[in-house]
Amino acid sequence: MVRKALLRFALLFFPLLIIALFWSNMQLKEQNNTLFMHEKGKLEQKTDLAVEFIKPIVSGVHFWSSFPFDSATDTSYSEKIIRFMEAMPNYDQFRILDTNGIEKLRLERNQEGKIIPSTIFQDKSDRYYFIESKKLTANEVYISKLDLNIEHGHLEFPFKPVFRCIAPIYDSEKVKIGVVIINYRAEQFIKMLSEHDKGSLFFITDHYGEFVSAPHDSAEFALQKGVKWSGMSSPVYQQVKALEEQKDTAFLANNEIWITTTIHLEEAYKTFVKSPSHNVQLVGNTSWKLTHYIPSSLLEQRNEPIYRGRMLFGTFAFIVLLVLSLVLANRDATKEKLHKRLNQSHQELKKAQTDLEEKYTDLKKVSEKLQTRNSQLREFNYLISHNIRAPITSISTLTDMYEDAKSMEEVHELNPKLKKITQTLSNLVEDLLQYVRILNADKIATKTLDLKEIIEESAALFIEATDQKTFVINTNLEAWNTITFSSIYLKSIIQNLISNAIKYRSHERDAYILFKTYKEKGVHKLEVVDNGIGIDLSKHGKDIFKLYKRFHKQASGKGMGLFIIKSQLEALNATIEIKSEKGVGTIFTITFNNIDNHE
Amino acid sequence: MNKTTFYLVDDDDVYLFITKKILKMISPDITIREFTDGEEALDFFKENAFDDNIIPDVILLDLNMPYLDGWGFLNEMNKLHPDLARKTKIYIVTSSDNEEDLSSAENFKELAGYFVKPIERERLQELCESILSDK
Repeated sequence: MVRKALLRFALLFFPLLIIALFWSNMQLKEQNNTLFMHEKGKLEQKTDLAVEFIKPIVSGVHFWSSFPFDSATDTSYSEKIIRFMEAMPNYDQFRILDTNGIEKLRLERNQEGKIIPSTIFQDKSDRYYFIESKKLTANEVYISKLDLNIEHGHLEFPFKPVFRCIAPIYDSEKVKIGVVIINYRAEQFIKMLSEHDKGSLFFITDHYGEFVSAPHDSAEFALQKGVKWSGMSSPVYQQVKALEEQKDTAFLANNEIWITTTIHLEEAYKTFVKSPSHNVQLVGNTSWKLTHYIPSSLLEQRNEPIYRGRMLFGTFAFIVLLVLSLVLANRDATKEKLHKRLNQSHQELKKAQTDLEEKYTDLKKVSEKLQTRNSQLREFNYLISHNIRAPITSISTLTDMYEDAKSMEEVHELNPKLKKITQTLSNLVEDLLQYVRILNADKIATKTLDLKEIIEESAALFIEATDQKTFVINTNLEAWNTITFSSIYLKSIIQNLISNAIKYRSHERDAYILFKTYKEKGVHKLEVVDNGIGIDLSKHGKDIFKLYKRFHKQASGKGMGLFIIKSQLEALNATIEIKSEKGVGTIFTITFNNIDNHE
Repeated sequence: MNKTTFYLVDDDDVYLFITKKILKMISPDITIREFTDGEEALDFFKENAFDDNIIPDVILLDLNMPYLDGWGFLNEMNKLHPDLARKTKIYIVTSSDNEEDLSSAENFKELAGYFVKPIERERLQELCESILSDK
């Protein structure tokens, strides 16, 4: 039962498990894909964000570029700028450099956030941003790369990532006197650009190979800082470096997502800012590569509900199906048991029926036997009433007569009568004994007999009759020749029949007796035909097989033959019938019924 | 015609001897004719079919006989002389008190009586007297 349950369980559970796994994998893929597309879109939008971020700064620089600057001592100019800067918390410095790169005006935000004019002017003529921006014309704005602020030739500490927005500046005479520079603190800008989900890694590199933003502080501006960080050789950083060389890409492989996008600031600005009133042109070559790496651990984490669902489903299915299988198996077992029991009772009933049928057959046989016995008893009773009583009553009468006898003469007259009765009784006892022996035989020895042999043996006894060629014994034993019967009885029967046929043959013709076997519905039958004088059955029919009945005076015989034949046959469950016509012949038909049951 | 005639039909010659002796003792004038079986008696009737003198007063008929038994004889006689019973008293005299035989006897209206052997002398005496008185 348990094995059957487990098999059923396996058949139900494993296909379901496979489907569930397949389905959840699809779901995982789908989810990863959705995440991938989402992150890709998000990264692509960062260019817009960057432009949107830059736009006001560019506008601001452009505004000051078109505002004439005459003298550094003009306090009203400085005040205007201070007010402007105070409203812009990310504006770190406001400077005006002359065409030689020497600072003419310098306003900077101090630690407390206050804007104060500086009196120390530095020479920035060798700084790359001055070199790249000194040729700017009207309506041109330059944006520097992102790097750490340097003052007096040294990195300002704490590190301050900035970019600079630069435009030409003119005096009232519209003569270019230098450039106006706004230092913009880029922390917020970087944070905005590199904003990402927790767990994923985000990198911003510029086209010089500097890490502007990285998961590790040590990596950020490492080139500018001139430090070597060992983590830079880790696979992730190596991959970032490798991707930096390539075009923008996005791929989902090995359960990891890599997305890169490049912000070409000047190009993007041109594309996105298309107002006719706004004729500012961004110059320079500022570009950042944004790389978003979502490691497999994060994907796994995001996919955990699916894993959990899968696990939960699996467990649930496992339990439910196991219970179901057990219940079903149990039900099957009960059913089978019931079926078995039903089958068993059916078999028992069938057997009982067979037994009953057998018993019925037995009973029928017994009943038939009893009927035979009954008729034999009746016969016996008849014999006793007629054949024994008669001589006995005669004896008693004779005895009376002896007593009454008046002379010796009379006595002498009685003597032969008494002798005769004695003889009669003696014969009768002899004959009855023969009959009773047949009736009483409990076990009659039977064996398979060759009928032809028996007929031939019997014929030899009547050699004088057959030798004269006036009587012929014929056989036709093709249908069957062997029969299980008592050897003694069968010989006696055959001899009696031949004897009768010879005794009652017709002298008007060549006499014969024919033994012919045949089968009727599988029952062995023996037909004994003669062409003798025949018997008038209408007269003697009921007496034919009775003791001491004789039907022909011309022949000797004491009326025992047919009676003994019938008794011997009946003792072994066989029967005999007669058909006869006076002057034509007689046909005896012997039917050998099964003798297996005789006692 | 004062003589009484008895026909005895029986295969037992001791019976025949005894019965004959008793009848002679009752009256020496009784005429007795014996037959040892039914067929013999029947043949006699057939041979003398047209002689009324052969019709006896009494037939004592045995049942169990070798060639033609009592019943067979009665059946055949019924065909030969259907009105025999009016002149002749037929008695069954048998050693059988068998039920079968008794009930068969009741079916023969022609029968005057049924005796079980041994038939006593007194019975025969009565029988003779009743016959003589009838005459």
